[in-house]
Amino acid sequence: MAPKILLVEDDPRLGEQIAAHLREAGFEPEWVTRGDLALDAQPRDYALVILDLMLPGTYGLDVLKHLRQRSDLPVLVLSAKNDTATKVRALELGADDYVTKPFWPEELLARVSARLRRPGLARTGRMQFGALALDAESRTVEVEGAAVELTRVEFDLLLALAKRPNQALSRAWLAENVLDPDRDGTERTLDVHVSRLRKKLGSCGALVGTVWGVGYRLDAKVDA
Amino acid sequence: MKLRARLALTLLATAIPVIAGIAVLRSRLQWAATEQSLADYALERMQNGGREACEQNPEVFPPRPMLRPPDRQPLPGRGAPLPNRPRLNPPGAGGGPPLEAPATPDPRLSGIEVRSELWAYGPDFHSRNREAPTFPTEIRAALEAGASHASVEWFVPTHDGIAVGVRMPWNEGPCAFVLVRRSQVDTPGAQQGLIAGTAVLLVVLLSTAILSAGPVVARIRALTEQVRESADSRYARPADVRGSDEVAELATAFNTAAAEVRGNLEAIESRERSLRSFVENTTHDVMVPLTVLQGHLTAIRRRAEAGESVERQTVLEALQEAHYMASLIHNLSAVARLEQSDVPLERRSVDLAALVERAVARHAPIARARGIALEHAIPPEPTVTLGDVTLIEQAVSNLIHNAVRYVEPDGHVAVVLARVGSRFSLRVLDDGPGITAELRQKVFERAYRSDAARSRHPGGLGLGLSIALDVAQRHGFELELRDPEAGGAEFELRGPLA
Repeated sequence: MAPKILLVEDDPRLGEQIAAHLREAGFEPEWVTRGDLALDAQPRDYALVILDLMLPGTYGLDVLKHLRQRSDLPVLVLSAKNDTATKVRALELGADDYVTKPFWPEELLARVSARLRRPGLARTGRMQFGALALDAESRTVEVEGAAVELTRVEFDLLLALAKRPNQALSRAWLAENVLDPDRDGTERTLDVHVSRLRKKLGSCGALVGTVWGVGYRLDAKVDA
Repeated sequence: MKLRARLALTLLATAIPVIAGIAVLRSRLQWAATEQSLADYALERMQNGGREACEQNPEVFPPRPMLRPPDRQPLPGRGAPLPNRPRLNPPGAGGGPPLEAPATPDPRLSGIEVRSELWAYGPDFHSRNREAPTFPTEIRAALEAGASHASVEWFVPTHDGIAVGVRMPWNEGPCAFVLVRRSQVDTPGAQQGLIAGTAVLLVVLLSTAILSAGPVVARIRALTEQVRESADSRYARPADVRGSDEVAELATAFNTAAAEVRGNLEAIESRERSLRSFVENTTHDVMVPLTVLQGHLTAIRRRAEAGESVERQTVLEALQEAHYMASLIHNLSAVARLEQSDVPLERRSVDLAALVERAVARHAPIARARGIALEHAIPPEPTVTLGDVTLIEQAVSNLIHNAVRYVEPDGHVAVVLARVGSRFSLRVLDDGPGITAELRQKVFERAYRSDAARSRHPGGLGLGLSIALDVAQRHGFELELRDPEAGGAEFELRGPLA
């Protein structure tokens, strides 16, 4: 089922455009033009709220305050006022993120997706990325159902990437957090470990992507 | 109320009660002195033959000659000039000596008629002489209470005088008490003299006050005129400070205040000028990309109407112009904020990971459209610093924007946030043409100049990097530009973690 998004935006053209882009991206937007209408909304009906702070009738921050009193529904604030005080106030009142006008439709969608991804959830137990299966507790890895033997460093490396799929981790961070500091903890050593890991993963080796200038990332559709 | 009028009024208000008080006090003292002298006189007169004469013929005491026609002895009325102490008569034979007039009559006292009488009374306050007046009851009461003498006012038509009852030391016989009465015609002269004297005194005081206020009033008027002129000249002309009195202090205080006002006026005017030029520059800077955008949109419309496929490049350039405009406006507002050096920087917690994600998300659509890989990495641990989130985000955004603009298609831009001990490191690196030494010098060795906003080519790069540097400096962060061996450019922003 498509996640429902409550859009509170007074400008008719912008509201229509945002709703269209959300719909196109596979969300189910419900658009209201007035803050007081947003006050009546049932938070449990929605996955996320996009709230314009400059609203007629009710000030956007009041809507935010009201929403926060009733639920911890993610709130993404739209602001034309690029001033720090308003942003800080919105974040203090419980906004999860903000996007400053003008913004690209993709930019807004990226922020929405990032919010719905629920980051920070510690991934434990079994994780599946296509043909690659990984169990953090038993420290086992399977590719297309067949077990793959990994060294301790290789497994930790894969686990670190798997905990944040599709997000790059820097080589410096990986070298510091995955490699054994008593032995050779340089980034070059890390590259060697990555290259060995890719070979062992065989057909799934390509999932471990190199990110230019950054480090590595597990490129995967999440099937956790 | 004017100063002089206030001065005169104050003077009158204080002088009149004081004069009146002195007059009352003096009149009381005079009264007491007259009472005492008359009592002394009566005692001496009775002791020097009066008693014998009285006791022999109480019915006719005092004998006729004692009732003298009014002499010219003064009697104090209220506020009258102090009289000479009456001279006491030497003892005389027979009916007793008459009251004696002053040896030399005071010319000031001319016109004041005086009549004196002396009557004797028994212990019961009754006289054997039928012509004697009734003993005044107030005096009788006072004497019975033990006083040696007492007095009351004595009113007779056209006369205003004093009656003094005196206890004789022998306290018996037909002349145990003596009543001395003395009157004077209350001529208007005495009162007039008093009033005239008081008036002269007041006039002298008033004119002294007004005359001495004159120069002060003149100086205050001159200062008022100068203050008006100074205000007309927008406080450019100071007031003259002459002398060292309070008026000079006022002039000095005004000059200090005027200098302050002038300073504030100049600050406001200069701010207004820079605001006006800022608005003009902004308008110009936004109009150029807007015109370019309109051109692109027109080209796209023309192609669409002709049924031709729209050129990808035109769309991309239109997108970039719009993106550039948004970034320019953000930068101009950042400049406006940075130029308010008197407004302290916000120092709030700034989540750098969220900030990096927002800044990358802002430029990702353009990077994707240009075929540039814009990647980023944030550490899993929270990475928070203190500062103004809008300014830091604009600085980071400028670094990313510049990289995205100058990297060739199929190039790379990476944003890497890391924690290094107790500090953060935020690197923006690309594999583009790099930053020329000339531009590096321009950005890093010269303070931001507002006309940098005008130098659109190379594309406002100078402005964006200058702002990034300015933001870093205002936060106490370090912004370093490196020339990686592999080519491209690498900026690193470092600062403390919160």
